Amino acid sequence: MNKKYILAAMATSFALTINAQSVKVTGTVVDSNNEPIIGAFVKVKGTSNGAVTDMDGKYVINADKNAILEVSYVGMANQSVKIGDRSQINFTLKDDANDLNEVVVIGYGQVKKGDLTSSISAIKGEKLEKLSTGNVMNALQGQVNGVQISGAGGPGSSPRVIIRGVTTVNGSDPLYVVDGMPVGTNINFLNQNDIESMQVLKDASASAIYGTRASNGVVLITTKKGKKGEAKFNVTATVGLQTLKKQKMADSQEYKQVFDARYTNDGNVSPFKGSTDVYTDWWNECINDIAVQQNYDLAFSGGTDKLIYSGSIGYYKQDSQYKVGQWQKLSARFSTEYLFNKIVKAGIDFTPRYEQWDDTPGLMGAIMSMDPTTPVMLDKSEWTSNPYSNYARSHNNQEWNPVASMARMDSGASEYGLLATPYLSLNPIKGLTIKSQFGLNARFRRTDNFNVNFFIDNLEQNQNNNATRKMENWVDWNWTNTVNYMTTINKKHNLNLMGGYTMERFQDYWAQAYSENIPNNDATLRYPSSGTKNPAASGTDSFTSLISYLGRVMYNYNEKYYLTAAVRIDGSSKFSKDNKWATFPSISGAWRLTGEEFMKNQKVFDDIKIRAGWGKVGNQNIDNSAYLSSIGTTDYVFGSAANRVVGSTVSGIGNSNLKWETVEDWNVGLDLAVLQSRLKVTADYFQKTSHDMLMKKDNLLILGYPMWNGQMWENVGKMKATGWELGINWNDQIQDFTYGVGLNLSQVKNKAIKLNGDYIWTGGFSGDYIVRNAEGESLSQFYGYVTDGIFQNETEVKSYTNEHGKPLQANAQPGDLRFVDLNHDGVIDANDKTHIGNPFPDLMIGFNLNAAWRGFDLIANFYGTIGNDVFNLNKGRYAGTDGQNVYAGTYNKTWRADNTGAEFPRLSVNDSNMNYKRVSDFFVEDGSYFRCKLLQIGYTMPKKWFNNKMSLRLSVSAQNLFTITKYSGADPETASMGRSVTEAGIDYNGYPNPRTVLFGLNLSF
Amino acid sequence: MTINILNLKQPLLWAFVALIGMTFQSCSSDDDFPTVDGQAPTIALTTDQIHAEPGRSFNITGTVKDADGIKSIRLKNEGMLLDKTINLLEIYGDSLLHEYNLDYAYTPANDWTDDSNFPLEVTVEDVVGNTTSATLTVKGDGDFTFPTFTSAPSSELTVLLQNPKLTLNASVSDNKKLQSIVVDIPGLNIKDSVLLNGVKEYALKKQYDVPAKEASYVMTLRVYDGMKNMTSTTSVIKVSELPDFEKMYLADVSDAAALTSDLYGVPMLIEHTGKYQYTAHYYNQKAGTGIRFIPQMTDFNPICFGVDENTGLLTSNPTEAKEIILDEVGYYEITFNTISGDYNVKRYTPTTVKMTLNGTTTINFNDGSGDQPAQICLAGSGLPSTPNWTTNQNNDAFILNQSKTNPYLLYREFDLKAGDEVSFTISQTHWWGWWPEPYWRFDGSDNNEKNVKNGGENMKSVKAPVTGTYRFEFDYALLRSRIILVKAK
Repeated sequence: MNKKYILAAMATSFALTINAQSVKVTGTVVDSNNEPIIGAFVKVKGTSNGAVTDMDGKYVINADKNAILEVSYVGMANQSVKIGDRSQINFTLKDDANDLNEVVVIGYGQVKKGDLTSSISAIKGEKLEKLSTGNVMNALQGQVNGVQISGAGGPGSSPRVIIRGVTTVNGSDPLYVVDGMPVGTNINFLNQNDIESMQVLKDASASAIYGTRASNGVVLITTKKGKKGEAKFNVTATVGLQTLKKQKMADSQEYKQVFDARYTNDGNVSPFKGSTDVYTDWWNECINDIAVQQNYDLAFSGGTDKLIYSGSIGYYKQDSQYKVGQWQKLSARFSTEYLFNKIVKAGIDFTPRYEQWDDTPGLMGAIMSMDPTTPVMLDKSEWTSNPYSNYARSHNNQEWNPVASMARMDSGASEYGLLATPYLSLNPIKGLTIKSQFGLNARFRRTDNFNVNFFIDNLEQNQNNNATRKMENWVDWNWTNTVNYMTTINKKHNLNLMGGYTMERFQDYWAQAYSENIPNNDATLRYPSSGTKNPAASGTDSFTSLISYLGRVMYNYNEKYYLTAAVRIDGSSKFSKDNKWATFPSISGAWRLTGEEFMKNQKVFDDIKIRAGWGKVGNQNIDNSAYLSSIGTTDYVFGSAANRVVGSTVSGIGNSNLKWETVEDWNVGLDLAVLQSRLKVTADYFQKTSHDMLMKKDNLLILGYPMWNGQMWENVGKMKATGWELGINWNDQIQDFTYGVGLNLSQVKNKAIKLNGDYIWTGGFSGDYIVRNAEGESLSQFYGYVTDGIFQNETEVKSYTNEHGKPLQANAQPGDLRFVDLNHDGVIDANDKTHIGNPFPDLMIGFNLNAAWRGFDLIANFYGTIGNDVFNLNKGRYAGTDGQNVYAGTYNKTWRADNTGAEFPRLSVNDSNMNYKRVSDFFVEDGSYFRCKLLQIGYTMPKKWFNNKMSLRLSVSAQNLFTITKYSGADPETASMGRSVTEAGIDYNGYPNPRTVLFGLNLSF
Repeated sequence: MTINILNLKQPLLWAFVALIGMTFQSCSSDDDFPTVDGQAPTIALTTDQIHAEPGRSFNITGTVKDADGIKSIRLKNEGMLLDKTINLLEIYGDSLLHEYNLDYAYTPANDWTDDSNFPLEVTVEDVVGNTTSATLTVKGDGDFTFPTFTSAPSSELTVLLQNPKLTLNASVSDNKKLQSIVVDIPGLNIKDSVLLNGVKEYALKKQYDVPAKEASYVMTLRVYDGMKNMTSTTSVIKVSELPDFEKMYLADVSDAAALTSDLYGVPMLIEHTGKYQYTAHYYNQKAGTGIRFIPQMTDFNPICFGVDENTGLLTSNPTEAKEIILDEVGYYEITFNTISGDYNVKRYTPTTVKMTLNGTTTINFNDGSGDQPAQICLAGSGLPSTPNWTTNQNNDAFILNQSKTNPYLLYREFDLKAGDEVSFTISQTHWWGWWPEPYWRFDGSDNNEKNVKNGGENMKSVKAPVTGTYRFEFDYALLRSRIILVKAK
């Protein structure tokens, strides 16, 4: 049946159900061509009373005279009108131009979204507010294509953000710019409710305007500003309850069973001590079932013709799942802008904040390893006057008592910060804007750490208690001056010119004091002056600065042909006189096909735009004084009396020839909108290549520096990242039901073209390394032995020889892993190692759903990766390889003569076959996962309940609700992080992402 | 005539399929290797019967040929626990072999007997899929292991003019059966043969009169097993006045076998303080222990200094030398003169600074690592459940126990398997795995005869003769250490 008829029937039946009010209103809804719009939704604003237009675009509705009628239709801009005395109201809806008129912030300016020629992803603040998190980048996960975000779960932790792959070993963090002020690589301090919008500049044609530090991409953040009108207030409160997935470890019986088997399998007598009658669940002792997360915010905004203002006060607190540790921040923001006259306006954004945290311990490994037959405390008869000494020592392994470790923890910090960006703007003639903005970002942090003295055992003790206090100030400022001129010539030639000059300075001061042997561990004596021994103090000042000239020309002809060219010339204090300056150019263009005459009469495509861009950006992520040689102090011990003499030595070898590391980037893209802009597709293909990558290389002794093991920075490396992105979004409306589905897919391949001539080995493992970064290969690949199952019997062991009968694994027994002689040389050695896993995904997936019906709304965000591997260190650590506790069920998973189909090799104390001492694919698991990051259901109560004076929305949501994965460890997302981009994908048993159930309230008035 | 194309379509299709099928059949096999002659491979084994001995490797040899190319050779016998496929295509990559010299080593298990008999099937497959098999009989009745001297006379034996008798003690063994042992001293016209009648072990005890004049004789002992495998040992016999032995050892065991069952340190080297004059420092762990002194390490013969009950002085005659009994637990100093026979036994207290190793004291190495517990460990290789050469107490360093009765005595028991090799330095622990002072190494002698504090030479590695529990002991006052067998397993 035809859609028209269905809609008409629905419209009729819907209209009939409406309870008649005071007047009956009829009318027609047409488009700009005077064609009737079928299925447009007409409703009385603030109510559920509505009607749908029929085949002729007509509607009938009953409503109160004072009510407002609102008409909506996909692809068209909404219209509202007060009914008054009219009984017939006709609407002519205009094309919404698919949000192409939306303004997007770009570097040092802004532009209509439809005029973009480079790859920029924009996301509105309201989307970010849905997820309650300490770092707003977590909320971006899956929402922006080409941005790989791996969350770490702990309070105050920052996610790892990689924009379009890796092209350098010198950090992967993008540059964050808040209201024009570069703020470094961590935006934990930001209140997510303060954000108006975020723009991710992904390709060099967009980011080159931030040339110096843009090689990893740039994230522009714009905070909320006031709007003309009555003062509006918005209160948000969210309380969340976090839970961690408990790691199921063996109980006392199974622990002993595994412990004993390790010895007896090797023909030894088990030295097991203690009793299985004692059982301590160390997880329960250390981890809270529920940790609370709180987020409160009060925001206001308003303005007059002369003055607009906005502000907020927010408080966020996240408790650690451990019984110690938390992070809280109190932030405020005040933004004002005053229009002095038609030419001059000035404003300031002023954001003070306070953060305080108690360190969250990293005891996951200890909790899982600790001997479950050991009690938490010693018997009371053995207690001493020092309460920290009254904990029990692990009976059967070397693990330190995690409850004791938590009790001793006393470290944390408090930080005061201020971000202020005053500016003055002049509009002397139409289209010309001259703006000068000063930015200040100051932070003052005090970090305290106290280690108590205690004695639990020879191997678990600290004789000298000690206190450390560190005071650190960062005072960064910048001064940005820009001139912007926009004009349109002959109504077709649109020109946007920008020129600018910036100065930036980054300063870091710190001083640290330390002393030990404090009379006791009393809380009132936990500062350095209490110490009686070995006082020490240290501190430095360091500065870097940057001066830049920038310029950009944006031109389009009749919104069909676009050309943007930008250049930035940077001078940095990090390089020597001859190499201080570098130029970062970029150029990009676009062609809007739908602007052409030959596309005018087609109805399929609402927008087709092809984009292409090229640019160069830089990276200066090296030591401030890398080009200078430095001298430091050193100790030398003379004679048998061990007299220490303090002398001087070369402590750093400078390279005066150092220059900028640059990344050259090109990008082609396509933007598509069809079916009245219900369906939007964005596709990009990109390639980034770094040149002159800065790396440390061994000191060349011919230079004459007496430092045989020294290293110096050199411009030697080259890397390449190639990838594609595809974003598909569908938005539609059926009567008063609106919904949207978004799918983001992206892939990036990282390759090291040239390194410092040697392999970069990372991820230490039993005297070997897990990861080999090699020239010509993908980054951070696991490199080890290939296994071919487990020897099931003596015949298999005895027959595993080379062609001449020499055993390939002389120490093997049934139950041991079989390693493959890959090169068939008859010996299993390092030459048989190969690539056994890649930690970077083949595909990243973001899948987002939203729907609203009357007062109800639903959001579901999913994120996943496919094809990435994880090197699961825990697989060995908790499988009975040492005296640690093991995963529950391990005994039945290990090979025995009566359990030959087992997953794990036999238990052995000596492990002479090196089952668990060799880097092998036995440890490598598929780290693919698909996670429900957010599921939120909200209900906005009808305004009439509050006399139209207030709006109240209640929501309940779940973060990290479920994860689909084959990975056996605690959290594939945390595991995928590893430690750095050259040491990715190794599961170090970090703090997993908790599951959080949140209850939210939003009140506007 | 018109031909209906449609009618021909089906037969043509079938013909085409058949043609393709035939093409593949005639020119390919498993992996697209072309057939040359299509004949089965040939196997020419060097022998069709092998006499093997448990634990001793032998080689299965022969030549395999095939014109099409050899794919693999499979050696299979269930009783031998062997099912080996030598995949030549995999090993030699793209090089297709047409001839291959099989040379496959195999070691029979120790539980094989003379009656063991296994038909080993050798199967060759070529790349076309043809196979050929041959059978080789492997028997367990071979004997290629030479007999051994489990206790041999020292390379130099001194016979004193005062008592010109050569007392000979030796022990021999064989894995299967001993046939005879021959004592050959040409200078004395002695060629003494003892038939052993197939026993596996035998202890030789002989005494020969030697002319009472200063002279040297070469003595050779030969032992033969059932397969005429022979092992010999040679000693030089010196007939002389009592020499001024450069080295003298204290033996606190009564059985000569205990002198050789240790890994090192028994008997214990004492000091040579002057001509014929010796001083021994010794810690007596058990009241009533008897001690004697010997100049050779492995036997109480031919010279052993002990108390002559008739004179009350020391005698060098092993048959008369009785043990000096130490009545108390503690440190003793024994001085004696081998010519006069005078000796003196007295208690003493060492002056070496005692270490407290019970965890209550710490050491700061001034290297930034902070205060660390005072602990002594063995940092070395071959120590069970301990990473090699680590001193890191948090990484399972091999920490020694301190005797509760004698703080100078450090010890630890551990298990070794026969053939395990051990070497180490005695060292303070360090949680960075460093080797800080104090540490003790050895004197550089072949038998690790004494320790040197904060210096010395690396230990000569020692090998466990039998599987068992061993006890390491180190006395940092005496600077002597040893590893003795506590219990064989």
